[in-house]
Amino acid sequence: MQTITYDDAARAYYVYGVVAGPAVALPDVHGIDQRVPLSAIAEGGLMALVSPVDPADFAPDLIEERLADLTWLEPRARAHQEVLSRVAAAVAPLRFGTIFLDADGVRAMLRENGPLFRAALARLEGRREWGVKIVVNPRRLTDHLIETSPQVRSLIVQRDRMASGATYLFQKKIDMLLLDLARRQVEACVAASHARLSILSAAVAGGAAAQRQDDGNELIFKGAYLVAEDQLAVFMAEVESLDAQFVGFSFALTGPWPAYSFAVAPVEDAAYV
Amino acid sequence: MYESLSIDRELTLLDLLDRILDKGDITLSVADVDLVYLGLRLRLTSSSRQPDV
Repeated sequence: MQTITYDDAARAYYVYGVVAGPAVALPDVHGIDQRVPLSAIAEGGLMALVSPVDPADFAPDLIEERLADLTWLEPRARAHQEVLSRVAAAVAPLRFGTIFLDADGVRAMLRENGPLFRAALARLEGRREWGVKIVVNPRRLTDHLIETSPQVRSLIVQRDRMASGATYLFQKKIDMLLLDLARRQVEACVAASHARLSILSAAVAGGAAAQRQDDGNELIFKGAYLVAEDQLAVFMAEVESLDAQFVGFSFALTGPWPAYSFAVAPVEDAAYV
Repeated sequence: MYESLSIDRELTLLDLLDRILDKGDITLSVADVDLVYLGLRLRLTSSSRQPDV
């Protein structure tokens, strides 16, 4: 294994997140720079999870090009995630790419945002972030609506009694009705799901989405939920229950995540910019 | 039943980037490098000490 040393001028600190330290044990994991292990900088009862990086690696004039290069971005993004997910205590994650030029900068950030971090960590203690995605399969939903809507069935019966040349406009009418019913069912599914999952969560983020996927299905909802550990079984059962209730919709649960969606964004609020 | 609930413990890169680069209602795709860059640039330029390279 190659041993590297950074002289002071070439060392910057990449900050992954903040824990209520200094008693929190550091996981045995490497940093963004795979050659160096995770370390920590403590200040005022808080501890920043850091590792040294070469600031040239994140140089502003090169960063746009590098972020577009998945071979550069992916291992670093995964290292960021790995550090945060391996910490056994509540951690307030910082956004990818949070870098300070020296340890004093990290300490100043901890000092000036102490109350924010302490409040966030108290909120996150014993809770984890879970992601819920809902995808609609338009064909299956339409099939289901044809089976279950008396209005649609009645129109289909009428259509089938018509002479073949007369059905074109009538079919248009059925299609419009199906589209409208599908839109309402999507809204109902999103509203019911978000409401029922929110009740079981300490905090929620995200919401309705509209994103066509390669397979023709559509992502209609992407939510993040902060769920207490002792509520997790109930939360999962509720997702399963929604999945069973809404025919034509698929629910996917991801997690547990570090609380990316529920952490603070200290730098924007700080006065030292 | 058509659907089955899946619990993904293996995180997709897109889900990961979506979370660690920019939270909120912006949906990133891997090709959206402008948004990806914005997430990081905001952080770098609003930090007090931008790497002086």
